Amino acid sequence: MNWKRALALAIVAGAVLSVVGALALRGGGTHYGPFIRTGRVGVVYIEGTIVSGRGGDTLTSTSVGSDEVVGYLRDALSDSSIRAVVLRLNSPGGSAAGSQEIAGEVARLQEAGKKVVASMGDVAASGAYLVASAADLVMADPGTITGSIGVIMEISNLEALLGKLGISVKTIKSGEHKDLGSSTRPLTEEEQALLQEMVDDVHRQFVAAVVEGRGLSRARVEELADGRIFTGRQAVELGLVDSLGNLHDALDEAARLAGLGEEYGVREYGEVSPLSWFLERIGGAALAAGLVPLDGRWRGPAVPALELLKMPWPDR
Amino acid sequence: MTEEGSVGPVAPLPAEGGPPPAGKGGGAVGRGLEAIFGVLFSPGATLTALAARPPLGLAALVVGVTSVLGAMVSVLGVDLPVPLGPGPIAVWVLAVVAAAYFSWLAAAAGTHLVAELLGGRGRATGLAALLGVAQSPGFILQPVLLVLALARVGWQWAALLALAGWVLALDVMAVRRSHQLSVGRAVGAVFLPGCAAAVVLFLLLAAMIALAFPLVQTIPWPEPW
Repeated sequence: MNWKRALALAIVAGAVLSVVGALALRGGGTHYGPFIRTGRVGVVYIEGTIVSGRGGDTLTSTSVGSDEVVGYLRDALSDSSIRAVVLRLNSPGGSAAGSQEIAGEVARLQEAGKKVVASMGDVAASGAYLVASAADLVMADPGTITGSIGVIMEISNLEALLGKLGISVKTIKSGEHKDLGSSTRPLTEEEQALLQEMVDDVHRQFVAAVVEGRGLSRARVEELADGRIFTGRQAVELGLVDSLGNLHDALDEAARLAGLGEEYGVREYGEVSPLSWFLERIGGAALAAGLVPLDGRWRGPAVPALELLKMPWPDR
Repeated sequence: MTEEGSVGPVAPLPAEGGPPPAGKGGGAVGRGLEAIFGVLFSPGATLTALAARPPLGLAALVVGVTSVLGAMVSVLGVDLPVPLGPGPIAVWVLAVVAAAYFSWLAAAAGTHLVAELLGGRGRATGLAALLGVAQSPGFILQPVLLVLALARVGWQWAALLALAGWVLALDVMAVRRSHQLSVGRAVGAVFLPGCAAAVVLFLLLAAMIALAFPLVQTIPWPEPW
């Protein structure tokens, strides 16, 4: 074989082997992105009101669905190159069930030996705090608004308003409590007691989650769990947050906890789309103008839902 | 890479059943490897020789292998937003290979048509063979792209630009050899079909947007409740 043929063979074989080698070295995960020898840290963004199921954007609000977040966390779970996950929280809370679904998935990651760090942005309150409390490490900015450990259910009574409009509503129901929470009549004392018991039960679940996640005594958490909010700095002093730092500090901490070196890769899940960014800005402008409620979400009448108390976005 | 003067003499139209392009003996594999080496490092003389006996089989092999390499590099070198299992990757590779063969043959047909209109004389199959082996720079630059992507250097665009420039230069030389055209006309024969395709695609896209816009206007805005 002359040298030209040998060189051509080397070039062609080298090209094929480089691809085969990269495939072999990529690791056992399902992600086929750039191969990082030391492993990677995944970043999952939880931005907006937490809802169970699918989230979405409207002109006035942004919500993040637990299905989406759980999907990202499952992806990180099955990707062997992801050794730690940072939850970037910028949420006033939301649905109790949605928050619990996400917290449950955090526990699943930890059971698999992956470290989870919560990084709080502007707000990580209520349901978002429930999620954060499940992490191995919780970090916040000094001015972060967090806490708000509590549960709320709001039911409007529009009976008088409907009467002024000449609207009467006749309800036909199969059971005594089938129209529980109806906005067309006031709550009875029995109904109020029923709903209060539900709210208290979810509150107990919330407290238990914080006790388990943060390693605090039940008495201490109950003392703090009256719905009040804290700054990030206050939360550190109270033991609700471990340390102060931004997202990049959280990434470094996650890599350190996972035993990765300084040269670690990062994979972002669910990056914010330009449409979401745009809608969020429109929603923010509307909030600033006082056109929509401060919690950024319209509530329809007679739609009782257990919600972990949500806080207004601080800059709107 | 060497090339005769840009306005130098044009190789004569190859005769049917001419001499083998390069080397002596060694079988088809050896001749193929020598042809690839020649296209990469001595393209002028090699393409002139290959034009005398167009290696259509070798060209198809080069297009196939380089497109598989390109497809795999695109999967391995890009941080995908969603994980891909072996099934979707196989589908992606097959789609890229199919697209590569289609665009190779379409480019050969379009270039041959324009070259004939510009006064060139040659066979479409011969041109297709030369345009196929002109994809050989992929053997060098696809691994470079892969290394740049994995090292997160961020210079993939430069490698892609180099690959495109190298292949286009070889395409122009291939048209000159196969259809006996001047450099200017060969450049026109290479670029005009692509430009025409781009214009047609743009017009189709504009027409689709014009048709879709009234539909979009009828979609109601979501109302909070």
